[in-house]
Amino acid sequence: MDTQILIYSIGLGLISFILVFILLPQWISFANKKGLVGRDVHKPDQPIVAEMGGVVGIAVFIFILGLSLLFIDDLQVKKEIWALILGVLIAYLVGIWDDWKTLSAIQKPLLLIFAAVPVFLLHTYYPKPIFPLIGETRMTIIYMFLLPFVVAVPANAVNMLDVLNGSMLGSAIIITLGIIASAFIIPSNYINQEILVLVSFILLGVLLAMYYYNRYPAKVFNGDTGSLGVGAVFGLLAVIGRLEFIILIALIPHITNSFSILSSIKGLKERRQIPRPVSVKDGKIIASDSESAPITLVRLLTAAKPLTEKSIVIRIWILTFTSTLLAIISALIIRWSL
Amino acid sequence: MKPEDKQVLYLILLEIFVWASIIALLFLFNLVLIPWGLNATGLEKIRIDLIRFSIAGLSLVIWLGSWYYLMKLILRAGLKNRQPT
Repeated sequence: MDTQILIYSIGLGLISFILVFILLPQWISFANKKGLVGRDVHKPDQPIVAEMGGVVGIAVFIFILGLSLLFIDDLQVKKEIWALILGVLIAYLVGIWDDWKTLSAIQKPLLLIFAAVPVFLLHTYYPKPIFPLIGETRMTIIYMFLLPFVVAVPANAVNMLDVLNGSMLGSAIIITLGIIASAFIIPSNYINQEILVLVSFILLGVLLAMYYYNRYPAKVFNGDTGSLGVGAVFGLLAVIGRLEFIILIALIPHITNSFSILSSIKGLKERRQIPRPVSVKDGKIIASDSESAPITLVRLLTAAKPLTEKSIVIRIWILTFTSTLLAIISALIIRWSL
Repeated sequence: MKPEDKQVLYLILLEIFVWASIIALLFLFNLVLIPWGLNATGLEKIRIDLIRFSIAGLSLVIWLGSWYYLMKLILRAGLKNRQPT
């Protein structure tokens, strides 16, 4: 890999971190003043916390990614960055709309399908996904049918696990590190290494700074703006970076969570239509024993014993670490099979 | 082992099951399904492709079903051995 690109990527990652770290407190005081706040229901005293921290984080991500265009000469790489910028921007706007007006359970995934349109229009997809043991495959027709879901599925999956302080950002940091490791394991002529490294370092900088303010006890929530934005980056990176299988494996806890919720409530339903999967008593989160309550990851983790928010978050990270490790093992198998 | 740690262990095993079953399916596909009828043409190719996609679809349904069933088992095991706060 070109050392210059690696240095630029790390530099842009650092700038992203600093920008989010400085701007997010301004957003927190603005949101508190304007009443853009929500209750942290998993704490005994249910404190008021600023909402929509993702407004700053994802905006910085888009801005820095746009800035990276100044250092890149290759037209194809520029097109790929534009596809990423536009795709994430659409997910970001859907997130803002959802935080502002609350979209229905069907509207949100439907609108997120549009985030894959720039990838299609700019033709920045490669219908030859790489699998362990098989190597490069040709899926020209199937890939076209799957393309609308590349943002909708991961964005919703990441969004559905953003339930506790630091749970989404901590797991996203682990996955991003796994993507960087995999980008160096798989031979660069099969994947889009430049894009993977550049975008991952910028995302890492944003995530680390956002995590600082969202960690227990949170000063700001990410909102759907943040979680849909982060999920959209993973989905678009999988397609544009040609790391579909690796990112899918790293996202197993998120997919398990959303798959079990959707299967147990039998489809997309409004939040108020379904019983709560957990409740809070004496500062601990207790799993519901109702048959009709959705099966969520938090409910599975607290089924045997009520746990504190902090210990559940650590357990979610352990699960994400395991899936990321499996993703890295998959990358090693791919390297061996190519 | 504490019951709350058992839940994490079960979920880690579930993740490994999900991953290992994908790898096993890829191995089988690579060994049997992909090379099968590679030189076939016309109607024979369509017939082989249909069988190929049916097997892949059926494996997907069985795989998703067992994934969901295992999650339900983990929930039931946890609720059955529930400890007080």
